[in-house]
Amino acid sequence: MSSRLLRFHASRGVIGAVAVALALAACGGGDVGGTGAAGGTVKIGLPHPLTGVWAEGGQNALNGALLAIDDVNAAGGIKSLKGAKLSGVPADTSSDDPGQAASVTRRLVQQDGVSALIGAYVSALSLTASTEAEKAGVPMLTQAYTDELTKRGYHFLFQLPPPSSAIGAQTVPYVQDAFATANIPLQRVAVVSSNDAALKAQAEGTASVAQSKGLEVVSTEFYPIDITDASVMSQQVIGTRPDIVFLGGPTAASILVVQTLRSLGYTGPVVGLGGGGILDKGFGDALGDNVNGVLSMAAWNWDMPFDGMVDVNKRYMDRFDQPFMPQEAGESYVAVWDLAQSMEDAGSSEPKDIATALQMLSMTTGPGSFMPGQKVSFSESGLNPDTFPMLIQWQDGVPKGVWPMDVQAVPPIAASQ
Amino acid sequence: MTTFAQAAITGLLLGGVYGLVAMGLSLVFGVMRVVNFAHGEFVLIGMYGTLALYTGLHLNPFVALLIIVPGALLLGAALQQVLISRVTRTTDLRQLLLTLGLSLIIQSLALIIFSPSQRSLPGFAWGSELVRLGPIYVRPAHVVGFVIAVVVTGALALLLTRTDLGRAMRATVDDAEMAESSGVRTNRIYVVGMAIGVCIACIAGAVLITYYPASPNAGQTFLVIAFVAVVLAGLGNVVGAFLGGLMAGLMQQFTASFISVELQDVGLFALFIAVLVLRPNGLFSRKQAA
Amino acid sequence: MIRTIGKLAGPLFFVFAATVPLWLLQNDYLRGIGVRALIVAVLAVSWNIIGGFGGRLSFGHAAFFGIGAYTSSLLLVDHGISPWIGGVVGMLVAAVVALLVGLPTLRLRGIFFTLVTFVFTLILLTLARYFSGLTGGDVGLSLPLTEPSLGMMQFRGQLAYYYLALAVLAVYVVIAAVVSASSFGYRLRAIRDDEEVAEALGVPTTKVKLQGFMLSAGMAAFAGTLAAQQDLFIDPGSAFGVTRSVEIALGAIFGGIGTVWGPVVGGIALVAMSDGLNNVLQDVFAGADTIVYGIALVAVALWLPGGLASLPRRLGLLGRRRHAPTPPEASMASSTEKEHELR
Repeated sequence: MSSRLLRFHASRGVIGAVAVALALAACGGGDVGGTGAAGGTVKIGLPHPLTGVWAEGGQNALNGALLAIDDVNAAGGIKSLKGAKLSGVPADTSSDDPGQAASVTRRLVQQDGVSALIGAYVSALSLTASTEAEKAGVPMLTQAYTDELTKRGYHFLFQLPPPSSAIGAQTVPYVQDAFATANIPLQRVAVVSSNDAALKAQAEGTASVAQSKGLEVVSTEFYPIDITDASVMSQQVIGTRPDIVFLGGPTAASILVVQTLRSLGYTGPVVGLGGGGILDKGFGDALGDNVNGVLSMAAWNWDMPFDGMVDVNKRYMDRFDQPFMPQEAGESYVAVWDLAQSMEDAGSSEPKDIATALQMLSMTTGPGSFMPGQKVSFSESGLNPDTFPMLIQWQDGVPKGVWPMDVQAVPPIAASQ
Repeated sequence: MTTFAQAAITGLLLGGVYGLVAMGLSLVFGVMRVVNFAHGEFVLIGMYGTLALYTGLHLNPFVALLIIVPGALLLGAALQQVLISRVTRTTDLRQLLLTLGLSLIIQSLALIIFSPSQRSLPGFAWGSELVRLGPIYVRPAHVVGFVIAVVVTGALALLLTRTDLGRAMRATVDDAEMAESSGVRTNRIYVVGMAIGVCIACIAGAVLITYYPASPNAGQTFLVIAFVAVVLAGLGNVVGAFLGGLMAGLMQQFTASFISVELQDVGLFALFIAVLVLRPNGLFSRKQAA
Repeated sequence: MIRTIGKLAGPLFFVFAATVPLWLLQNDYLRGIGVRALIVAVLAVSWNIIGGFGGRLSFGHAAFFGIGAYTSSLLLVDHGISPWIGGVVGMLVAAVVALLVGLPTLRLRGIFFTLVTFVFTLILLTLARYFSGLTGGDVGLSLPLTEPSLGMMQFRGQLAYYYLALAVLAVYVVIAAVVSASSFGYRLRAIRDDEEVAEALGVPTTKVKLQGFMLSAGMAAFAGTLAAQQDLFIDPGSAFGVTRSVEIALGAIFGGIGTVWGPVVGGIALVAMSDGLNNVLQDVFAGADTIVYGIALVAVALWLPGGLASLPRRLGLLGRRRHAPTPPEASMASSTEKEHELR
């Protein structure tokens, strides 16, 4: 062992060069944006965070895409390209270095010659990855929410889920409507969120919508994402006697806040702002029975009433040993089918042709349409105008769609006993 | 007023575990002059070790300590013997490199073995419910953690002041060469020091996992807090580091309660810098700044 | 003869580096890595002024990198000011911040400086997240994608960034060489080797350390501007993250602390290694590159504390002596002789 290490360090300078050369050899020879020869393969780049704090969501998003790629291939591949098969090329963007997201995106485009990209789950990573995609003229579909993505006037970026602002605008009306049926009064509103910008903006948006709807915002708290105790904050929130608590944050923090609120005797509804950890399987695992009744905004759920959803979800659960197909996996799954259809329409695997086809895409049937609203098309800025956010509720340990009615799987239940 | 009391209690209880982490760090620094950037990862080993024993053997996390403690002592001794002894009392630089490297290795192993997800003890809800004590609430898991921290601190203080081993350790802290010439086998002291330091960190990890989920990056959070606590107390002041941990916990909670929970760590760091500027040898030191 | 080669080695290195994109880094991905490597080398050379010559190990140089990145980016986004001007403003801001941080801490023992720089960066990280109205918080700050323009420091391909970073590196190496040979450099090294002796010899130690720290911080700031322009993006984590601070210091340490060329070689080798490993090992399992990276650090700590720069000397001595003497740069900041200052 030690002698091997010795040799290793003595030639470290060389190793760096060799590693790069190896990488070149391993990835070289990729037909850069090739036109998809008969029966060949079309590569789709999948840059996602596979290490660091966002790794779990990144892995889910990647898994969803890989499942869809296998499904597309099993269904005969891209017929207009003589049955060309899709192949996914994963890449690790890391969780904390948007520069690395840019770098691996360049690699996927330049060395692997991918025809399109799906990624990168986290907003900051998607922003730099999409800049590289734009520079290179390769279309990229993203699962990220932030409004910033589609505000930059890019032509090769396509945002599948609704942007944060749309989710924020719908949160209060959805909850009001959903609870109106249950006759639960919602007057006093508390907003508690982690201070990372995406959620913070959404939380502030939610608070102002609540105010404009005549509700009383009694408490607004922002906490750091690595909070280790929430009892003081929770007490302050409960002291304002809210009827409902809107909550945003990563998994660990959300778990902590919900646990604390519940054990301090708060029994009213808790509603996740969307994004963050409240849709995570770990959230359900850690809270046990306490999770049931917790609501959250979402852009996708596994139980939407479309033909074939049940089957997709079941195969995802079996293949990746998960209790349900999470939202980011679902969005990736849909994104692959949309790409496949665009290639079919374009009869080409040239990135620019795929991008043009994506701009004209209108999916209303099949897995490529499995978003709320059951339609996927893209506006000039890359937004998907027909989709809308949905409200889910944890019931029996899994998130279930409860609102709006078009995607309701089960009716909402009272918050917590 | 209630808020004040609540912040004080929560801060103290959380600070106990911070204190444990800080004491281990301080002990290792005091005895060996190793600035241990891998200390947070030793906490991580305690967390994941307990998690593995809980899920694999269904051991109660506090019972698991019976395995964690000797395991951690062995690990610490082995690390010192095999790796750290080669950089002990050499240069800051080599120590930083070695411990940073160790920290990366442990983090990656945690990622590979336990996945990147946040993991808590499944089904172990004990102590996570808040209990009402008059106007304030406490979490039993915090109380147990605090009690364990106090017991460990007491034991360590006794060890350092009342035993030959402890006296030898303190002599080594004061002057290694002098201690060696008067018959103290410093290498043995280093091994024991590292073993105890790692062990305390692992105990802190075992306590933490009962109320804070483990993830491969979790160690970093506690390393930073421990740095602050150690500097508050003065580098190398082992028992003082426990008090430093308590202060760190209090400062966090007070900033969270009265300024903004968002800035709780800024409050902590501001205290850190203030202490460094005003009393660089720590709050409990009678010496002037070096 | 040897002296002539030594004098020529510097210019030759840059001529060689300038040709690398022609035969090795032949596509934009590899050139992008080249740019990252050069930026880390630029940072390592900057770090080395205070860390190597001055012997004060900063584990928070990301603070200055981030200050540079945010200053030029905010001036560009909010006021349309060219990053060239923004970059220079960033250097000044970083130097002033270094003065404020250094004033209370540089008179203390080295380890305090290490801890303070480490924690100070975390404060900036938290503040950058808190003032999200200004900085965009964790979503980050996107710089507008415009037509390529030298005046606005924005290019389509990576090649222009490569030569830009190489030019900055060349300037910085000259600065480092001048510092190293100047009386200022001698004073810095005197302080590193023995502060008390330096003081007794009449060196105004705190002032010299402060000057070194301000120079080092200002230089690091411009690298932030370069990085922000390369990615057209900056966010709190990549600007002020612990990883960034560690990367900067390691670049210098890897190559050889306290030498003019060590940080250049080290910074480049570090990025080549981590990006190469990320590329090769990503299919094995996620996290594999980090683990090898960690093992390499441990190996350097155990067997090559003087960094790559000490390699020739060590190899040359291996045949003759069983134990190579510790190179002078590795004996710096030794805690042995300082421990009596502690309890």
